[in-house]
Amino acid sequence: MRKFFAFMMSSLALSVAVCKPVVAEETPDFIDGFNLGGYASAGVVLHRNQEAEAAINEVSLLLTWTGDSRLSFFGELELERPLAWNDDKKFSHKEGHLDLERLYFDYNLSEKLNFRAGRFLTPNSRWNLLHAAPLVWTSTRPLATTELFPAGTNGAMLFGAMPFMNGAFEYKLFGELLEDQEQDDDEQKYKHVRGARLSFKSQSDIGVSILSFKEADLNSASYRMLGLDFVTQVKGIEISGEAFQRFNTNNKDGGSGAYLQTAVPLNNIGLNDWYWISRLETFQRPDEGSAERWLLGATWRVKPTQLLKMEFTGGSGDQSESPRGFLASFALFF
Amino acid sequence: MHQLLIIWLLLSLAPLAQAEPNTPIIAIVVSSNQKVDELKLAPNDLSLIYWRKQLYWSKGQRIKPVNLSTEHALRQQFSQKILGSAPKSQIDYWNGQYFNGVSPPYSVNSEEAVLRYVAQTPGAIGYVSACAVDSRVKALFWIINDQVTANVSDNLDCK
Repeated sequence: MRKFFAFMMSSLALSVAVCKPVVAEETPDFIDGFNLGGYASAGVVLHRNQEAEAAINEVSLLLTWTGDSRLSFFGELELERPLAWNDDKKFSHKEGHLDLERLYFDYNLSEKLNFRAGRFLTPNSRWNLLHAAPLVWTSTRPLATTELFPAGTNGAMLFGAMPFMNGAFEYKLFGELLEDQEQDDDEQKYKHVRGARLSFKSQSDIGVSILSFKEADLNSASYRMLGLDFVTQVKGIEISGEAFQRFNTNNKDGGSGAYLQTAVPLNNIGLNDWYWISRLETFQRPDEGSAERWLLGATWRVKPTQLLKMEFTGGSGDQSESPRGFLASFALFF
Repeated sequence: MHQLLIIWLLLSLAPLAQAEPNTPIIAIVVSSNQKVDELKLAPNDLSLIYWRKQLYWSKGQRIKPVNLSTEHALRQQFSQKILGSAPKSQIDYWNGQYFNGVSPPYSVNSEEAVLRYVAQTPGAIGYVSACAVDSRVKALFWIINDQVTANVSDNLDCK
């Protein structure tokens, strides 16, 4: 952790050193540049084979700072499961812990080129980049987006966007510079993460990503991964999906996963702002076997920033990250 | 007989020529104090600016785009032409941007408010109907019949 903060302070010092105010005639108050917001979610899980549980899943604070210089700052501090309940333990706060999800500085080098240093979400999956509970239709997250690659990276990134045809073409090139990531004990640890993502935003969004990394366990296996993702609208129906394929150093299968999801508006049957959600998933790792998941549910957009979700999930294989049964949750931005 | 036929044809085709409703010409404006040669703005950059994917002018000044309110007719027209969708269908996008620390363009209720914001805010860019352009701002582009152009006729019908 000490190394991480040293790295962050070095990034800040470097950014400040290369940054110079551009607008001489205006020096806005430093404090005015800050914005604080966040999101939270709470839900219940009725497991198929275990006891029911309920929890405040997370309370996340988002802090941004932008001034009139080329430098900006973003941070996300998450309090995970601050309060949980199940049939045995009743109410408990022992599972609660703080997690520094993101903390980075951006420096604008030119209109089409920006530099980021710090801890950021690994930009190789659409879901990973937009995983906040008020942004996704379901309480559960596809296994393929959690079990195959690192969710966060401590390092540096070059990124930008440029117009292309009638849309925007975006690129991201990134690499890990600090390997002692703070992660939960039960999470897979990774190192030597490097990758790139290209995406095109127009009527539909499509993205392709490549990633190389090493799993920091006893085997210390190295992998390369190819990822594809898309989201589009067809007659009001949102269709999205992602697919990942990992290769080990012998170019053999190192694990894979995919999901396909639809969100059908139910306005036609008088249920305004309700959506029928369905999803199919597949996931396999050579050392863990495979799992399939199906999901059927309904989500009510209570307000543009609030979602109420209910879903049934089933399939094969037990995965702690993807419980089978009935789940309901409420999520909001604030 | 031929003259009658021609008159009948002209009368029949006249409504077709007017099938497209007259949409107001939109002017993309910056402050009249802004040095335009420093902006290096191409028409295609407008969508990046209003999606907040391009945040800085070429000299490093932060771009401050301003929108009209969601229901404003000019906002609807601008959004459809430049961003390819209606403002209300962009909720998911802006929620996603909020999660990543990016706010949508500042929003005001009237064209006069756009003019004041653009005139008084360094780095600002906005849009108003062509006839609303005055000495406080200067137009970079025009949206005429769904085409973005750098030229506009001097003979605007601003009655």
